[in-house]
Amino acid sequence: MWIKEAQELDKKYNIFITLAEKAEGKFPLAVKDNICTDGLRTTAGSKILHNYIPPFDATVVQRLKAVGAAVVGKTAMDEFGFGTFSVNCAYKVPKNPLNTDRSCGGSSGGSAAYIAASKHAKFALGQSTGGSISCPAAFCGVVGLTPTYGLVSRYGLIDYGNSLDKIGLLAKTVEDAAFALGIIAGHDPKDSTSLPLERRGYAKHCIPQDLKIGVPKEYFESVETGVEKAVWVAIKKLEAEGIEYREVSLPSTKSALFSYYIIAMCEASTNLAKYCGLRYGLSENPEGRSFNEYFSSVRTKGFGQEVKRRILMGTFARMAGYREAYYLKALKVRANVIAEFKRVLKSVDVLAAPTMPMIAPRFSEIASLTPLQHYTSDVLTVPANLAGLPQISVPCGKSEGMPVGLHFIGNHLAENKIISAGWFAEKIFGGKHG
Amino acid sequence: MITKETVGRVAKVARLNLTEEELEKFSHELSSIMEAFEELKKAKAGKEPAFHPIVLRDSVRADIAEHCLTEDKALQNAEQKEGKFIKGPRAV
Repeated sequence: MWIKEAQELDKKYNIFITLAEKAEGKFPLAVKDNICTDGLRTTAGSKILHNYIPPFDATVVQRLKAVGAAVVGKTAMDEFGFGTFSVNCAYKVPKNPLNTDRSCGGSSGGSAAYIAASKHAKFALGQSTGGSISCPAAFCGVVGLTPTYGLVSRYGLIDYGNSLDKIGLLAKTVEDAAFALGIIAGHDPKDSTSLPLERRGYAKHCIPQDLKIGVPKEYFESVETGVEKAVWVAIKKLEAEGIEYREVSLPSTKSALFSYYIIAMCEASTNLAKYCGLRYGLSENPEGRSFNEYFSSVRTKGFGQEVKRRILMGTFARMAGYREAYYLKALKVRANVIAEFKRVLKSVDVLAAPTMPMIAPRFSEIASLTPLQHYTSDVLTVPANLAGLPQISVPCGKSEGMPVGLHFIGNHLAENKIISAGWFAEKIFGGKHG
Repeated sequence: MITKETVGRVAKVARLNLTEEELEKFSHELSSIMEAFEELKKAKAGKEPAFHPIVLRDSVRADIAEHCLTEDKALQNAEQKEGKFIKGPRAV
């Protein structure tokens, strides 16, 4: 039943890169294709891993299987997560189930589309480096939960940027996301960046609390009018229900974007150095070739244009003579961004802002964007990701008939606060609990 | 401005073969991206670089052998192999 539905949805919306042959368990689970699944092809959306069958499960998959998850398939994504709209795909480009002329967002686009369209699934696994859970959640009208960096094990995740990657959830409701977080969160000795915290439940925090909300004024610059209106209506609705808000300022928002891209590209170019056509993935006959000739040939054939672009930029920014100006400076700017968030989050419990500056764009609109315009689309999701803060995107209204996401951002490990805010907002905005 | 020559030099380090057209295209794209990123130089910065968003402690474990992949599983994804070895290009 779950596989049949997944096959049907895949035909309509290009949701999966690989579908499982059978799925037996207590509930269906779709997994972003950069998270390893034992015996089920995992490509990270790249041709260079077109034949990679992991011999192990990622810790998150193992934990979910232990409570009855049946993996139905591996979801479509931008190659290695490099994208905002799930169009940098080496396989099929997923479509938004609410309007197939529009993007479902990226890079966890397939997981968000699956949750939006499935009648059976309550949550799916996604992953965010700079906003890849929140963005597709907003575009597809579902809930997206990105945990604090280090709360959820990255073991078995195909790296993009080690200091930025977080595995999280796309879900039908805030409660579904909170329930799943309780299963996947908690220390894992196999991930050296995993925080030494016991596993615990989060769903019990789904009760309205006396929350103080901060609305960062910089998060409304360059936002589409329809999105801005929908978000303000939502904030006013919360206010009418007794949730206070006040304006706050995060002046480093724009510099966070540049800091993020430099760090992400530097880390990505280092991580992707391991794809050399030997132990796994795309390979060629090595006879009569030098090492460098062989590596270069395999990598040139296996990587798409956006991957090459980011490897080039990351390699450039790490080269002698540029490292200080770009990479080290970006890391220092990040320290300031974290300090700025911490300062503001002393006076409010959570921040509330539009998740994305636009509704899901049409594919025809995306086609005319330059690479830089793609990157600047992430300006609202990147700062919290750069700082490793937890975030939840909740549908809060519509613009031009497409969903708009309201983003709640909390302090490190304040998942309970963003979940409470999200749950209450969902209830007020007429979500599943409404 | 990132010239075609610089892109070529970076591509060589990154082990990518680029065509003349790609060199031209990436030279333009990277130039405009890095020009925008120049703003970073003016950005307010902390004193120390933040390599991670949270403070991490070194993670160590007792030096005791644990379960790891079997030879068969470790080799299952390598297409070029001979016996229990992965075959690569000649090193010398």
